[in-house]
Amino acid sequence: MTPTAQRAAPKPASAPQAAYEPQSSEADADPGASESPVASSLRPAPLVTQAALLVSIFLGGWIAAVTSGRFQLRSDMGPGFRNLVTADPIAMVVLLFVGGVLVGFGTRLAGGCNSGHGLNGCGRLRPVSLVATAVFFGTAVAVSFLLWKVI
Amino acid sequence: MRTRGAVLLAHILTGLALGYTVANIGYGDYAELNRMFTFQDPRMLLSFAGAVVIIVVAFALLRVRRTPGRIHAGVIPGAVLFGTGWAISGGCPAIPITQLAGGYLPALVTIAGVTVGIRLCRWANARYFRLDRGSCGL
Repeated sequence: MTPTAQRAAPKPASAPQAAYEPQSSEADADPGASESPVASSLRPAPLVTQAALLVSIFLGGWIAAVTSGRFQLRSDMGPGFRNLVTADPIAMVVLLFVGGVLVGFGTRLAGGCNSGHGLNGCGRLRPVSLVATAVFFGTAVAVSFLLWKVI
Repeated sequence: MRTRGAVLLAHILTGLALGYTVANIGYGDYAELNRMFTFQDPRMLLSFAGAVVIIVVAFALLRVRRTPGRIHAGVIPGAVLFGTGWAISGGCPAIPITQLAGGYLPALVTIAGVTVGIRLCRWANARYFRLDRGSCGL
């Protein structure tokens, strides 16, 4: 167990084994950032490594799309989005941006995204992750029902 | 992980696996996502739950350290914000990346939003909240 006394300055760390925190690379792009490690024996991975993670995710997704024949350059988000949210391209852009801001802000505030808390945190059975996962799943369910039934 | 090369390789392999599986399962497809959240289709929920189960078992077998983490004031509001954003535009920042990889150009907007959101939170936290937000995992 990592003794709490050894925890460095309480800032969100960029986890080295971060399949679950790809956004940490964007955070570290800021030269003024001082993301201190949480665990004493781990340091934030170098920027190149984190960038490599993002690129690899992109490549993996691209391979999946190409091999399944689903790759298609398009400027909308598919029929699902059109039906459920909006067909208007301007509204779509606005909503995607706002949604992205919510995701980015919420992830940082909560200390993890659905992969960080949901997979990694729950995998470790951390109470904070179980709570966070329950809350954001619940919220997503509520908003999705809203989109589906009401809007 | 003792060498930087090993860490880099782990990042690359994990990223490839994540992108590939996420895209194929359908987390990038908005209709599928909504069906998951409205309980019309349990398939994706089961895949998420299955992944968690596998990780719990794997972590236990590998004796991965349990890191405590505190349920701080930012967890619930942050999770609410994140859940809303997830239902609107897709979720864990890996998703818009895979959407982009599938050719959905508007995912660039989502990624831009995520970047802005992260910056916004760091600014807001520095000025107002000063929360010990912890990190995901570790």
